[in-house]
This record gives sequence, C-alpha cells and structure tokens, in this order.
Amino acid sequence: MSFKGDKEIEEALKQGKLVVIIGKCDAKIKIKGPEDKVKVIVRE
Amino acid sequence: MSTGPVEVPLPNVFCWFLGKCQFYHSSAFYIIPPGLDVTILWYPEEEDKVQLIFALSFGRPRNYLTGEVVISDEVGFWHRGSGMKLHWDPLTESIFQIVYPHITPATKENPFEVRFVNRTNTIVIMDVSIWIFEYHKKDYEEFLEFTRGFVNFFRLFGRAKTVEEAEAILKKLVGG
Repeated sequence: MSFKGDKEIEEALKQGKLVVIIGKCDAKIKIKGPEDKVKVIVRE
Repeated sequence: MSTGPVEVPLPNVFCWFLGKCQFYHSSAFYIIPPGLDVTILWYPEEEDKVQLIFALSFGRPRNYLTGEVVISDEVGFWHRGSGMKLHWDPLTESIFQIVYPHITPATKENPFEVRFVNRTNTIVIMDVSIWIFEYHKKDYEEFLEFTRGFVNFFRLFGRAKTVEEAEAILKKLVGG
C-alpha cells in the first residue's frame, strides 16, 4: 500500500512527525504522543 | 514479514469461551521520518477496559519513497509495558520475521509505551498488527483468578517427582 502523494501525510512528514495511520474500527484504542512530533490519522 | 501461527494463551481461550473477553487485532501503519526520536503511548480509550496484548506481527519495513525493504539496526523502537522490560527492537529480520509473543496488559493508567527512533536517512514505513483480548476490568480480575488457579494446580503437581506421587496427590485432593 502506498500513501505517497497524500497531502495530510506529506505535510506531517515535512514537519518531521511520526505518522500513525489506523482504521476507524480501532478508534477505541488511543495512540498519544507530543503533538509537535506525532500525527495520528484515523481512516475509514 | 512475520510468519507462523499466532499462539493464543490457553487462559484467554477460556475467558473468550465464557464471553468474558473479546478478541480482535489492531493494524496500523507507522511512517517514521529520519532523525525521529519520539515516544507514544498506546492504551484503551475506555477507563474500565484492559487490553491484554498477546502478540505483535509485522509487515516488511520499507522505504516510504521507493518501496524497497529496509533492514537496519539504525531504525526501530524501544518498548515496554506491564511485566515487560524496556528493550530495543531494531528492524532486523529476527524481529520482523516472527510473530512476536507478548503477555502485556494495557490500561489507560498503565499504557503500552513505544519509542520510535530512526537514525537512517530514509523515511521508513512499517505496518504492525497488535493482537488483543479485551476485558472489562472486573472480568480481567476473574481472568487473573482463573490463571492463578491454573498455575497453582500445576505447581501442586509439579511437586511430584514420579507419576505415582502425582497420583497420590490427586487421590488426596479428590479422595478415593
């Protein structure tokens, strides 16, 4: 699976952030890190 | 990528059979830029839940831009949790080619902790599945009771050095 070209991801990577992509069904799980270093993206 | 069966601890099967817990896995992609060093916490959002992690499995770590497989001890993660010492998992074959067993309960107040480190010049992407039995806290206590009974039962028989001694212990317990 490629996420290349995804603007939300590319922007977070430009800022040097860890990008975590989880499915919506995982929403009962919390993934938390410092906002300036971690971007959590919940996808359908 | 991880291969082999995910082995489920027997006490968990017991609790699942009784409807005391639910099984699922959570799969996520992690995209790790060069120079990153950050710690995340992983836990159930609901306060009355316990998520008992019993395995991790990994896809192949890859270069985000080219898709080439990345095998390196310069990128990976530190992690720890309840009953699991802090340790370093480099993205080397011996780590991501097995189903990685755990017995690590995570709660909101005692989360699973993962520190990602990337000392390469590559953006690395990896997918990880975390295999879980999820309990309400009161059912988790019951699970611990069952586990204690399971362990104590076999500890008792562990005292026997021969089959005859084991039979004697059993007879003493149940009569006859």
